[in-house]
Amino acid sequence: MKPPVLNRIAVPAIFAALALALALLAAFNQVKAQGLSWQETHYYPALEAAIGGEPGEGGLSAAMAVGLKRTLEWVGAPRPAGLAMVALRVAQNLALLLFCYGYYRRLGLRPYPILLGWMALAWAMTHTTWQATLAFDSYTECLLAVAAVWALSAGQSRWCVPLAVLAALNKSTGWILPLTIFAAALGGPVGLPAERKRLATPIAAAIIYLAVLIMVREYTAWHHFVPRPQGWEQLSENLRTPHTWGQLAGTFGVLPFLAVLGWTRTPQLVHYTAAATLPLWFAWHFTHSDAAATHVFLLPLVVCVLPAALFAMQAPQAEERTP
Amino acid sequence: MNERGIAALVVLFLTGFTVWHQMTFMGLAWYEDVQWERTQQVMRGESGTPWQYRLLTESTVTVVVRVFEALGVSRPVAVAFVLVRLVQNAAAFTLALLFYTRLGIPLAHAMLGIGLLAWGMCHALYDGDLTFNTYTDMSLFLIAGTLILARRFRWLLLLMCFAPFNRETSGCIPFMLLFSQLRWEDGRPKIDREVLLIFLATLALWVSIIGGLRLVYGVRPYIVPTAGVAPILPLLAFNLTWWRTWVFLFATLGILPLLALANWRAWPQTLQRYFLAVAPVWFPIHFMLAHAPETRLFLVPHVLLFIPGALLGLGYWSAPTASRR
Repeated sequence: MKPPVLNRIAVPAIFAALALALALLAAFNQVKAQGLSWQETHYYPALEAAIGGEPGEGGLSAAMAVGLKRTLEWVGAPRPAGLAMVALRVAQNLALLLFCYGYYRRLGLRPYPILLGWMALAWAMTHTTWQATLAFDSYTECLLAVAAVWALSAGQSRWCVPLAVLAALNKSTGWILPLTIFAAALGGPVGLPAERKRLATPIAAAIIYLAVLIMVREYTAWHHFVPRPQGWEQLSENLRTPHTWGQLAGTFGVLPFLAVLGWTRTPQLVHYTAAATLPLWFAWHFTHSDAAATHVFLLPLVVCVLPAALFAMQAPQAEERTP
Repeated sequence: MNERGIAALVVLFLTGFTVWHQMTFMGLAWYEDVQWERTQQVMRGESGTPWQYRLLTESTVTVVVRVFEALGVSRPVAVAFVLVRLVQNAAAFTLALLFYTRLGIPLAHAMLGIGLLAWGMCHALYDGDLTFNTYTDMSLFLIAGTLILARRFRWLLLLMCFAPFNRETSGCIPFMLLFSQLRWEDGRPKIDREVLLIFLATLALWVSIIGGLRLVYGVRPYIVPTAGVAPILPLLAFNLTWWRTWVFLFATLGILPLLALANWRAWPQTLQRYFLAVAPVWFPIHFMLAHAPETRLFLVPHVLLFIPGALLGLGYWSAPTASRR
């Protein structure tokens, strides 16, 4: 029996309103942390530089921000750079919440636990602000990864190829996307039953990713692609700084503990993705960046940790579609 | 490790994290200087309304500071503040777990509940110092809620010997007992004689302690930090119209009140009665008499009503439609 028309309109409208409210909450805290003026004077010039071919922030995200700013400037909006950055951040937060909803539903989670997951994610995002820019590239990377695993869990593997192109255009750590696609394809359905064909899409995505990456780096600068060999020094700094642990605790909260409880009920797709990406991702960022800037860890949080935690919240009989 | 072991780890983890966050918010030096002076004003009987009458936690903190001073510990105020806050947060998280499981919420769900509480607490720091009495208040309400659920009504008499010395809000506790135990027979309200006597005794304790404190210290000038407007209508108008109230309230409570109320039918009757005893009084009083953007003021209804209410939805919405009440 179909639900009443009112429910078919009202329920999605309520969910959309809640997602927007949570996106605004996270954006408010993210912008407030350094102040909008700081973002305008320190971050926006880096975005402009990135689309000019200079080493800097991710090209794709920078292009989105600068394009939006120029459009707002053209229509005569006041403070166009600040407005563009706030608008883009709200849009990214909202998209992340909605993409997660689609992905988690495909994994077999029911809407109510996902609502609590949204709340957890929004609060987690309010703790990703330590001495950070608005880091549009990290959020775009996160969105691309969720889109990829969502597509794979839905058996729509063809989406992975354009997503790999976007990942190569976005950020130097975009290698996480082909890796995620590989792991998720091994762990879940990709719409192709034969084992040999199952890996065709991930291989195509990886090749295209590399091809685009090489073209982009030829155009910009290879030296930016190869990170400074900070290694042990950076790792030691990250491990010794209390803020690393404080910010990680604020970002992940109780979710890793709950993920342990829900692990056995979590679909294989999440297991494979976690095994392939979590250790590498943490090792990479602890040795190459300030780990207290925890926006980079949102990706493993939303792809692996949060869904596993939500499976601990759901009675086994309530799981609907398990890939 | 079993679920209980993980729950213990979660409590330790959240305690450490929240205390770290609260201490770094203003910095220990600020608390040692400004907050310690405010505590001493209360102990000297020189503070204003309502701080002067909230002696329980302030005197506990002072005793701990004096002990560390006597032991020759370096920075005794800072060490005492951190220790007291660690104990308060650990108590609040542990009691919340006990209360939620007593309501029939599975332990794993209860762990998510205290995780959400911790995140909310991180956004309840605006203009609030460390406000030790607010955090004691959370524990007192959770103890009261658990005692009533366990039908250990007489213990409320002991609780009410202390609670009014902490905050005036403890006046809701006798009504939590009364409302939760009222039943309707033949269209008329009925209550057990013992429950009625305990209600009257706890209410009498509250009135005499709150009244006694005002007699001892006299009527003091009202303190409304930051807002600087008079209580009741001016303060209500200020709180309702200042954007910070709503932004900070949403940052602290999130969508949990909405989810909780959407699950109203899933709430056990006792929790529904707690809601009726606390929420209709709590929100108007704090909007008229306090600075509402200090959203720590709403942590008690959050931990006692909204979080369990929202968690109950996990079971309610996964049940087949026909079996929902």
